[in-house]
Amino acid sequence: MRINRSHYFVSLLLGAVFGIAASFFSTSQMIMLLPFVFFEETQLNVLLIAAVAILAPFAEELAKILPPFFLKTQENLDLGVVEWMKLGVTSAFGFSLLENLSYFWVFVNLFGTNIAVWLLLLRFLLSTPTHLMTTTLASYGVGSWDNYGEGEYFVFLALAMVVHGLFNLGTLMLGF
Amino acid sequence: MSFKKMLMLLSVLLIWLSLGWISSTYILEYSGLILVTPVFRKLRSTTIFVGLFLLFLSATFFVASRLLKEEKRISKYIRCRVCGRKIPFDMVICPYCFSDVRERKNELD
Repeated sequence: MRINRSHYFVSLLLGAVFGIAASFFSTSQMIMLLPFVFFEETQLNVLLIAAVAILAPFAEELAKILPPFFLKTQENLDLGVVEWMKLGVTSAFGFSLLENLSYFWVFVNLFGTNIAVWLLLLRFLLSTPTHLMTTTLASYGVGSWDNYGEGEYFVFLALAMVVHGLFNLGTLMLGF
Repeated sequence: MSFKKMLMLLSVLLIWLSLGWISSTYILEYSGLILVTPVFRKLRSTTIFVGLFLLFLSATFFVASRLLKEEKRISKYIRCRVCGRKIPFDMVICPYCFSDVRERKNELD
């Protein structure tokens, strides 16, 4: 079966749904780490860095690649590497859209609508392209593995996680 | 072909991201959130540098996508014409529907 518009739409929605699952995973792992932290400033920073630069990229990259995989197995889709990338990027866009809107809601409550709109714009300029970029890398790797059966392509998935982690770490360090 | 397309897509996304990095401190300033990051003015040069680096990376990816010659990769799988499932290339009979796939292999050869 070949992909059509409805598959892109489903991928967009599933990206958002799996995004919620990824955020639950990251939060739950942070909570599990809390007993080992004695609330000194350094340890809290280490916890924050571990969550933002390791846990979140790991969970999010897997979550964003799941919708194409789900569609492929459930709909028996004939996906080439380019189709993998297209569905992956659509899924990442859905993921990012929901993430931005959830942050927007938080910003509205914290700072008011005017500032929240600016921060939403900032997230659309920084966070969204990063999500799309890392998922392009990850879906290329997984798509190549699916089509050519060579496990070495999974290095692209790892690379996507590293790039995502570095971006998160960079924005954290710069105080964004 | 897919690797070149990936590089092209990354190139476009990097331009988008670089615009974000370059404009980030300006957006923070206009939004009035200076209090949250009091030292952000010092960071402006850093974010602009990161943005310019990403633009350079984007240009590199674009040039690479134009110049690289991609070697043709051969899939280790074929698709069964009867049930539509993907099966290893060296199969003679589809393990799912037991249909003969030799004809399909000859076509691909």
